[in-house]
Amino acid sequence: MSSPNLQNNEGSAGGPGHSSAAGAAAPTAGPDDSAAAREAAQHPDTSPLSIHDMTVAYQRRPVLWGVDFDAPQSGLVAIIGPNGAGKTTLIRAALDLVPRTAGEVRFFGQPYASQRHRVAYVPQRTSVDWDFPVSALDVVAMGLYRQIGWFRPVRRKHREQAADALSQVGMADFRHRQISQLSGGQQQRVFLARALAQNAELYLMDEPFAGVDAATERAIVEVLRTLRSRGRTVLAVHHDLQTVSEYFDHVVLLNMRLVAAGPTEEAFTAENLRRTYGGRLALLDRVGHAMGLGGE
Amino acid sequence: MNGFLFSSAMLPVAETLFAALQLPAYNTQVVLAGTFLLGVAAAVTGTFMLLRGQALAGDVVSHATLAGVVLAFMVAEMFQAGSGRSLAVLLTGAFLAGGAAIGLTTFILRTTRIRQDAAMAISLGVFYGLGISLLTVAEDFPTGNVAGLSHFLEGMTASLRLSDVQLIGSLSLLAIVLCGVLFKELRLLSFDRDFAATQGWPVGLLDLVLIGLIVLVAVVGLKAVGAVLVVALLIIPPAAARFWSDRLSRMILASAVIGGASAVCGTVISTMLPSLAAGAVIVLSGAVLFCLSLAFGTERGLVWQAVHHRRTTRRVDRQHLLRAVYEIIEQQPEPGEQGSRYGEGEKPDRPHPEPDIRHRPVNRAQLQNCRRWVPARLERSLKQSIREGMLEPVGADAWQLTEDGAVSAQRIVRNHRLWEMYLISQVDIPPSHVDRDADDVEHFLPPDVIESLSRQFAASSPGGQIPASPHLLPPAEQ
Repeated sequence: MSSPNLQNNEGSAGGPGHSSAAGAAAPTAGPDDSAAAREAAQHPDTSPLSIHDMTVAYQRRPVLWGVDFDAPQSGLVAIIGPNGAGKTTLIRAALDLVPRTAGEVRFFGQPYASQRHRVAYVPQRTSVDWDFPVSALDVVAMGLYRQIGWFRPVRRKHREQAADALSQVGMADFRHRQISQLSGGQQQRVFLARALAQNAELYLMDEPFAGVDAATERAIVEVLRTLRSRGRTVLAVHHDLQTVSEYFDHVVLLNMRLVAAGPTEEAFTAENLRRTYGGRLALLDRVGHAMGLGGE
Repeated sequence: MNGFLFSSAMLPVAETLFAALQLPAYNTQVVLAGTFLLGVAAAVTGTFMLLRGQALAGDVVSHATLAGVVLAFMVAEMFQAGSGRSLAVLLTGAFLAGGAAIGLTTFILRTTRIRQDAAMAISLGVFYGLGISLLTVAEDFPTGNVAGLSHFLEGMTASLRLSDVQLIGSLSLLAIVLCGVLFKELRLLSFDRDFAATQGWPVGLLDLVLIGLIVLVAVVGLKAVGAVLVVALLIIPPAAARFWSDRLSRMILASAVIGGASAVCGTVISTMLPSLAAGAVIVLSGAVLFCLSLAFGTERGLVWQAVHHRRTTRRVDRQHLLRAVYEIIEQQPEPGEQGSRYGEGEKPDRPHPEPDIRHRPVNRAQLQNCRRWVPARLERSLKQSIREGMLEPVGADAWQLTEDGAVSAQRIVRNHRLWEMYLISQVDIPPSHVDRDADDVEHFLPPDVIESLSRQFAASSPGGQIPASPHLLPPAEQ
């Protein structure tokens, strides 16, 4: 059960009834099967994010069933799956934004409340009102509010930090723009900069590439790679199957339950895609074929 | 900046009103101070309420307060006859009822699948109906005079006593100070509540504080403007302020100025014309300021937008004109050169030498042929270009580029063609369609984009030369 390969993982995500401790430790490992990776798999306490047997239901309709997942120590992880697969819910339930029906979530081995400062969240761009009367810099500075603390105003020092985060995403020239005057891609980069300003170790991003222009996509990929090189972990909900292999070294395939998770070259197979996306076989075969993925 | 400009513009107005009033009546000044503070408090609190999307919550609260006022009156009278006239007692009741109405709304939302607007309408109706029914019951109450209670429905500014104003003023100040102290927190809550929650901010508590402030202001405004109109004090000033600024701090300032000014105007007008209810006049003053903001607001006012739009259209027209002049000249044989620059249907080789474009007059027929101009628009663009020193008339119906005009024309054509080439190479638009697509954007290309395009197509425009048109130009008449 403890070998970090996909089929075991799929087996362990069987349902809410499953409760094996070994199963919780199993699902992922680093990109190689090195001793360190095995060590991490055996001690999920050190994982930036471990989700154990999580079930989430809205009203009486279940959205996620018995998800077991341990994020790798560092690297870029794509969460993929069809619409309604529970990708956004996975992130939001982990962050206590929607109540969990069952299961447990640990960040760096601790409850979220004590580890917030190590975790940054990038919500979907469409989740806020971009007509709000604030500038790009104001939004990025919001990533520092926790550090600033109650009642204290945003000072020059914080504005400089925020400006620095903006320049990391190539938006330094736009810092005084009101946010409705930014393009969708620029707005997405502002959100990313807000997360960067938090200087976290784990980043949870909900569709950072949704509806962005090519320049933004390049800028975001650049930032993700920088984060990886600094040993950070990024989990991103992703929709473009064509770029999964290029951008991400780990992948989580989700369709209400965890279909597979692991290093991209192992988990991102035509067979797993078929099991994730179900009916839309023809399309997937073509995508898989185009990417030269071996199925069976 | 806009907010500050606006506030300095409004101050003289308030001063003039004070001067025009010239009523030494102490009572008027007291009332004025009270309504002014109320107006500012409502405007500041209302800004967060509006941005948080809770405008309807204000309506629920204000309608619900009536029930609280009447209940508090009845309870107090039962304990001690006459104590039901204490404003503090009545406002406490109103505050509790407002909170209860929000509680009911939240309960409906959490336990059922009824949507928010419906849940609010239910609470509003239930509590307002309760208030009206209790009012008729209170009329039969053995002790005390119930007549004052109906004032809470329509407001009775003139009947405010010094003690009332002290209460209203201090509660208003409390609301203003709380908004100031919690500015950063309320801004975050209003913009992105989920993000605030992940950061560990107690969003539930902050929600409660904001709704508490709304209830407080609604309650404070009860006696001055009445339950039904108080919500207008919360909503109109911030809605008007949005036309003056797109920064929250300045928007709040503008909102406070508008709220304070409408309170002062309304109070003064109703003092001069006592038959008018002050609450209604305050709200109408706010509405007038809203209309002025809608028209003349520096950020989104309709007048500025129209001016801006017209300016842009004309600029684009003039750029089209200069490009047309350039392209007409480009297709003509150079003086001393034989035949057209390009053969029939032949795609020009790039790069090509730039034509000498000065001292080469073009006439109206050529321009008209180059582009489907509306004659009047062409005429206006011609006149404006002459005024700007871009073109100069040569004879009756012909014009040539000035030195400035030649420089501008070259820049415009170069940008246009770089953009066309970008569209063809990156966006897969066929060359035959590219002219029209390029037209829309080329006028708004920022310098850095031009820079990167020039680098990208350096081969076609060595040394910043103008590349040849990637498509056939309309034949110019000779």
